[in-house]
Parts: sequence; structure tokens; C-alpha cells
Amino acid sequence: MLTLKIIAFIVWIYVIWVLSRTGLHFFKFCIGSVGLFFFLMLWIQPLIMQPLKMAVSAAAGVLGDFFEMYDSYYQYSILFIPKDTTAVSLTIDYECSGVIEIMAFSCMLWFFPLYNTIEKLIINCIGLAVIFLANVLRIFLICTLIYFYGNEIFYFAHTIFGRIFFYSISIALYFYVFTRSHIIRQKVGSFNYGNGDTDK
Amino acid sequence: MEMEILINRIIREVIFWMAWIIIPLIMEIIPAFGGFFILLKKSFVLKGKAIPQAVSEITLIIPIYNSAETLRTCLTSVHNSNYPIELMDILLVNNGSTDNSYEVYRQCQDEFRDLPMTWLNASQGKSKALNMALYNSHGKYIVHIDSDGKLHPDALRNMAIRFEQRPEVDCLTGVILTDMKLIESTNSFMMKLVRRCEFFEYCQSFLAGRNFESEFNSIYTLSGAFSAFRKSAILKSQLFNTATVSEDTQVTFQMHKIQKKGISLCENAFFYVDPIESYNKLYTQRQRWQRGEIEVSHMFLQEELTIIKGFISNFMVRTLVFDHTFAFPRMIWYFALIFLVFLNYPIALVLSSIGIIYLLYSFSMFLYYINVLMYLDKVKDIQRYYRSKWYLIFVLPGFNFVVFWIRFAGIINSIKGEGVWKTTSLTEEWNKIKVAVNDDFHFPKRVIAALRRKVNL
Repeated sequence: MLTLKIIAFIVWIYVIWVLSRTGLHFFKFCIGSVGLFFFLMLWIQPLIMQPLKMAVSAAAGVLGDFFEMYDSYYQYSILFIPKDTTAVSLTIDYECSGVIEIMAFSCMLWFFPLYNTIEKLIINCIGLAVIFLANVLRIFLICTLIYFYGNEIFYFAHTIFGRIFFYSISIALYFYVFTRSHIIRQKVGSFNYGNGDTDK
Repeated sequence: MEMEILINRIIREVIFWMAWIIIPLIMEIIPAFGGFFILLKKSFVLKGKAIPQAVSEITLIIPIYNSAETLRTCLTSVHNSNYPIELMDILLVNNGSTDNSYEVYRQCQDEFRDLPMTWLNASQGKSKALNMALYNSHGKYIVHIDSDGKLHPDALRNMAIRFEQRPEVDCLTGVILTDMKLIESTNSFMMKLVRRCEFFEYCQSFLAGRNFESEFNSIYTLSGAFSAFRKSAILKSQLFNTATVSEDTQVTFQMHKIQKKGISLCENAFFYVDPIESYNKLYTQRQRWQRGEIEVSHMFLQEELTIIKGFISNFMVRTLVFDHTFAFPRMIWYFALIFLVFLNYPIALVLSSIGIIYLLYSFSMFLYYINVLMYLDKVKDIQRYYRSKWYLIFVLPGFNFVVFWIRFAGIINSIKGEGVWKTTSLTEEWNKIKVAVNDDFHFPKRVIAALRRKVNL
């Protein structure tokens, strides 16, 4: 199985190399970012999963402590929300950790042909911080809703409210990283009519 | 009690699926629903408008670039128009043709002696041709059409009437549709299906999309193939821009942003163009449209690119967010569905969520379908054709999916390289890959061939 994965990786590198040389930017972007995502999921994700889950629960715990609403047991990635005489426990799992979102963003950024390497490094760090914080805030919001409205609200808070919140922040991040910079840097003019004449 | 359990269960199911489909739902289906009712209301309001009897002089501009094959048909449609000929002034502006367009024009002059036509020569580029014609125009209203299409007999009259009816409107865009006879004469089954989808797309884009935008004075782009201006308004602008690949969107932005002019759709002025020639043409054309949007945004929106304020207060930023920003999470979403299967999510769950999204998209297509049917009321033959192709509402989500990827290619490809009118086609791109791979394997291939020869010896 490992051999297969390594062969896939080599083929992917070769395809990217061909697409770079032929100047097919879109296919390079697509195959590049999706491929990178696939290999990160395969090899990097298992390594960062546990620390990320702990970091998210620890950071969410800081907010919980501050507002005295819930406790975090970050070693186990669990949050405890006391409600009346009982307590609701929330486990930060794979989906809550934001690992997929962080990797998807990074993969697209590294193959987005607008920035140079230094810029990509800086933007990647900022993006990571934004997604991480957005995720922590999302969990804080879900816990707050449970704290006030009880376990019944969990499903709504988690699957709909939390998702819309997190999605809105992601859209804002994508807007600034991909759209705004692209529009500002877009070259206009000096286009070619396809028969060799250039119109300035 | 049982009822309560049942309701609770349904609510839970709905919420569960909502989580999967919430993003496309908010982005596309809910706006389609809102638009449906607004257009429904508009169709009733329009019926009550009084029609003025007198119309004014118009200048009709037709840019010519290697139009020998289509010019006669175009001028025939102008000749068949029911607009009073004595109120028409037609300017044909050649911009660097290398074919016999001029000879065709001379023949048409003989054939349509009553049409008041003038031939002008401009330097290369549609914008330059349009600008030159503007300086030479005399009409109160300036209409420009492409030389590769046909006017509906009522089109010019309906546009002039609309200007008279609505003094606050300075620019009008006509409705562009592809020619249904040409679509139906297509031989290949797949190509015919694509062309029918394209026809539906045009119908929706004008009679639903722009029609809705028109209600809020938020039309993003006037059609480059058929639109009209009050002369007083267009001459105050910076005219057509020669730097961008998208002079039609550029002039629309000028009108909106600099002059705060009213821009509207004339939903009963039809212009017919040829359906898409080939898959390659679709691939390059849609990329060019996308690039045009980005270029024009660069020219006008740099100061307003903020996500909250810009998104709320400026429809142009909103359009940009829909077309550009959302493309990225959409890409993640499509690929995530594939990855979910690998992550041991039940395949039934993934397939059902795709199914639900598909049905929701089809439903929004159905709403557009109803809207479009209402607005095709004045052109019965097209309405009949459109009605008979109802099943396309189930095919269009697929067509739109393909077009999404082409436009996304337009976004990425516009970052690098010069703006070219002719973006490389899929066939050309495939050939490039073949050459590169052949080059790479040239040496190993030679080694293998040499080894084979040796073994055979």
C-alpha cells in the first residue's frame, strides 16, 4: 500500500511539473491543490490531529474559564458544560478540530498563482491563525448556547449555527486572500487579438 | 403523542440534511425563490403601462470585423424591423476586417436601397469602432448590435418605447437568445443538448437574472451584442474602454459608478445570435467573460473591496463574491464529497446529499422556467419551443456545473499572462501536454527501442 502511495506521489509531482512547463495554470492549481490535500491527509493529518484537538479545546477552555461557563479537559479534548444538576460533555473530534479547513486553505493558497513564496508563507500563517480562532469561537458559541438553552439546542447550534458562523469567517478570509488581492493585482490592457496585432 | 414523536423526527431529519446543504441553499436557492416572486409581480405591473405613439430618431451602430458571412442576415433583420426607416440612421464601422465584408455591404446597399447606411473605417478593436461611431451619430438614442446576429422585428421599436416610457432610464440592454432553428439543426446529440442548455441559460440570464437585477438598478453588464443608450448619457461618459476584454461591462460600470445612471432590461426587445460553435469555443468564451469581470472590477472596485461594507452596500462587490470568492469553497465542497467516501462516511449519505442538492438546483431552475415562460409571452414561437424543452431543468444543473469549472479556469488563468482574446482551447492545451510528455519520454523510449532491436538481433 505504501508503495502505491509513493508511486501516486511521484506521478503527482511529475504531472505538476508538466503542467508548470506547459503553462496550464488552472489545471496546475486544481490537480496541485487537490493532490497536496490528499497527501497531507495521508501523511500529515495523523501527526497534527491530536495536538490540534488539544489546542482547540485548550483555547476554547480559556474562554470558558473567563466567562465561567464550562471547563476544558484538553488532555482528553473534552469540554464540560454544567447545566442545572447535570453536565453536558462535548468531545472535540476530527471535524471540530478544523484540520480539514486548515489544510484545504493551505493547499489552495500554495497553488494559487498570485503570490510569491514569502507572501504565501506569511498569508498561510495568518490564515492558520484566523481559521483556528474562528473554530475556537465557534465552539465557544455552541457551548454558550448549550449553557443557556440546554442539550436540546445542541443539534441546531452545532450543525447549523456553528457552521454558518464558521463559514462566514472562512468566506471573509477567502475574500481577502483570493479575491481582493487578485482584483488589485489584475493586469489590464495590452491584449492580443489572436492574429499577432497587439492593442495597447 | 405519536404525532409529536413523528414531528420531532422529521425536524431532526430536516436539520440533519440542512447541515449538508445549507451552503448552496443560502447562496443560490433562497435568492432564486425571492427573485421568482419579484419577477411575478413585475410581469403584472408591466402589462398596465401605456404605450407612447411617437418614437424618436435612433442611430444603429454595427461594428464590422470579418463579418462577410453574417452581415447580410443581420442587415436583412434590420430591414425587416418595424421601426420607421426615416427615423433610422445606420453606421457600419469596420475595424480591421480582412475578408470581403465591404463587398457584402455594397450588395446590401443595392438590395436595401431604402436603408440609410454609412460605412466607416476605424482602427482595430470593437471599442474603437463603437467610439468612432458615437462621434458620428445623430439619433436621440444610440443602439448597437453585433453583426453576427438578427434583430426581432419589434426589438428597436420596443427599446425606443421603453426610453420614452421611463425617462429615468439611460441605458437599456436587450434580450439575447440563441437561434432555435440553428440549435435544432445540430447533428450531434451531445452538441444539440449543450446548445439547448445554452439557450435555456441565455433565457434565464436575461429574462430572470438581469430582469431581476433591473428591478434594483443593479444590472452587472449590459449585453455587448444588443444594448442602447440615450445619446446625452453615453457622450458624457468616457465612452468604450479599449484596454479591457470586456468593454460592455466596463461601460456598464461607468454608467453605474461615475454617472449614477439608470440601467434597465428591455425584456421585450430580442436579438438572436448563433449557438455556441464547439466545446472549445464554450471553454474559451466563458473564460473570457470571467476575465472581463475581474478586469473591470480592477478598474472600478479597488477602493470598495471590503467584505462587510462592500458586500452589503455594493451589488458589484456582491457579484464578485458570488463569482470569485465562493468558487474556492465550492471547489472544496465538490472534492470533499469524494474524500468523505474515503474517510468511511456511508456512501448512501454522500450520494443522498448530492441528490438533495441536485433536486434543489432543479427546483430553482423550475422557478426560473416559470418566470421565463411569462416573459416570452410576446414571442409565441420561442415560448412554445422553450415550453417543450421543460426537461432541461433537470439537465441544467449539470451544464451549470461544467460552466462553473470553466469560469473557475478563467479566474486562475487571468492571473498569469497577457490578456488574449483567444484563450487557449482545451484541444490546444491537450496538445501542449502531449508534446511535453513526449519530450520527457523521448530518451527512455529511444533506450527501449534500442534494447528491443538488440534483443531481436
